[in-house]
Amino acid sequence: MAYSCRNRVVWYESLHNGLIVAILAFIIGSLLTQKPGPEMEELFDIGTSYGPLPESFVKSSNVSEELKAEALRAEKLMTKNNVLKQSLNINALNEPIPTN
Amino acid sequence: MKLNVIIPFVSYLLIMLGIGMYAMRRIKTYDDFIIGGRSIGAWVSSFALITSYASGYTYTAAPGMSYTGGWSTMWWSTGDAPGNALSFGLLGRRLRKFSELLGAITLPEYYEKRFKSPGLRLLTSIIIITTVSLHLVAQWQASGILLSVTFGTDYLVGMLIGGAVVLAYTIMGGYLATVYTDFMQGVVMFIGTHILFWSAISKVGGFNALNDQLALINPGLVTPWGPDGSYFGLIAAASPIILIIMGSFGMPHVTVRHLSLKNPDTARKAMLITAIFVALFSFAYYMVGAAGLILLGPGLENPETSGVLLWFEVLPPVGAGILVSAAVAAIMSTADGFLMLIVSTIAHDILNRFLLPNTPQEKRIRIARIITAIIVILSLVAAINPPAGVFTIVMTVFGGMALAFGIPNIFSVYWKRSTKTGAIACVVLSLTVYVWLTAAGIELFGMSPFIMD
Repeated sequence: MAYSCRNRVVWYESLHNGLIVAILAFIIGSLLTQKPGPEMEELFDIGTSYGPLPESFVKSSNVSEELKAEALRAEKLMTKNNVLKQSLNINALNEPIPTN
Repeated sequence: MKLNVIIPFVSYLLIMLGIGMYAMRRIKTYDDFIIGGRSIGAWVSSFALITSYASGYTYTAAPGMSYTGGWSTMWWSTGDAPGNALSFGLLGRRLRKFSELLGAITLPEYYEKRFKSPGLRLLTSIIIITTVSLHLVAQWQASGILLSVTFGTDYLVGMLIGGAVVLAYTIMGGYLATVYTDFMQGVVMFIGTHILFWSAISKVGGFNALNDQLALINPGLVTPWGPDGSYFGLIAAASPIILIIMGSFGMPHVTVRHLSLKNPDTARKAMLITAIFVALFSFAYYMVGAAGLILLGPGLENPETSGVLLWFEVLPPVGAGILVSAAVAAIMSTADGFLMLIVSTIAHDILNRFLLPNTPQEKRIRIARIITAIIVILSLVAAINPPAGVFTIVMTVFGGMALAFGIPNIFSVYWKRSTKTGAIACVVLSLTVYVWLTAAGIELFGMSPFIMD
């Protein structure tokens, strides 16, 4: 075989050990240094949420029409969900309380 | 017989060139050339990811594993579908959105803007150029071996055919050409592999007959733990799955597919398509080697040839021609992904960022095309007398890329606290440990779940 049995075993184990080192190095390295600034935190929140894009990002030339449209869809969906939740709560309040 | 094999193969090559010409008409901007203008839909993205991931390995090492390991090879196949699908599902959507918000069109550019570190961009660019170039050399080598074995041509001629066709369509259509051809190549690979697999199973007499005959050779071949029980236990069995998932999260030629998605939501559809097709595809290309063990007999000097030898054993010449095309497709689709990655890194992350920052768009495209030609020529020259075997290069590079990029990719989109120090420490330390342990041959814990004789 092109790759000998012994080489494969060594490669395989080196990869696992490298993976453990990679995870630990990333976590420890990040924790030992200063937190990213508020700008990066804002970017992270936008990147991980489904909500509307802030005005500053919508105006940015980096952001495509596709992403803006997706943010608009998410915003509409959230509004619809909120309206639905509110109406459900109102209906629940209007229900007569069973007495027996 | 030869003409029946050659005609489907030549037709396939001409279709690839046609796609390159079609893509060239759609190249309007520099972003189109480098990242397809972020316009790639779910089906094309999905197949581009699958074919970039599945290299010459699909038709050599994968069948070789089931030839020696029987059904235990399914641990590797089990990792393929979730690995590739989760790459879209867990990483793709967020990476696509982050990269657009940051205005990044390559991975090193994304790292620079996400971690605010030009040094990290330079470091990752150098890693990509060196490791991916090695992988590209391995693909030309595989092309030379495959075509020389199939058509009896010279190794050099086989290598040049593969290199020339990839160069032609990539230089014409850039990233767009590579993903469109990847889609076609994926279809050819999927159909070709299934034709071979079901023909082989039918010739063996069905799955029951396959199991009966495998058990006669070695009862361990029909168990999930392998002929020597090396996959026994949860950790040993789960290891291939973990490694494949990490690989698909880390390999830059695979993760770059996320940056070119049409929009973040495309990732969900792509995840579903990928999961279904990879599950059906990888099962067939792994298990074809087990059928090869029955039809070709035990004791092949090189089990990795079992897949190729089976083509001529079970298929008519036209079918073998389709399989040759499928195998060349596997090589080309991986090679074009690597080539485009090297070109975008040199052109965008080194030249445009550090050396020629104010170059006009038209000139940037021209420079990228010139770099494409230079890279192909240099890698072909290196492949004439490569330093080691295909598998050695592929496995080593796979590991290095998975470590250097996989963890930073995941943490950057899931952990707000990620910093450049963490990313640089991860890349430098993990690669140092990996290369040192591999080169020195050090086994710390004696894990050996996939020994092959």
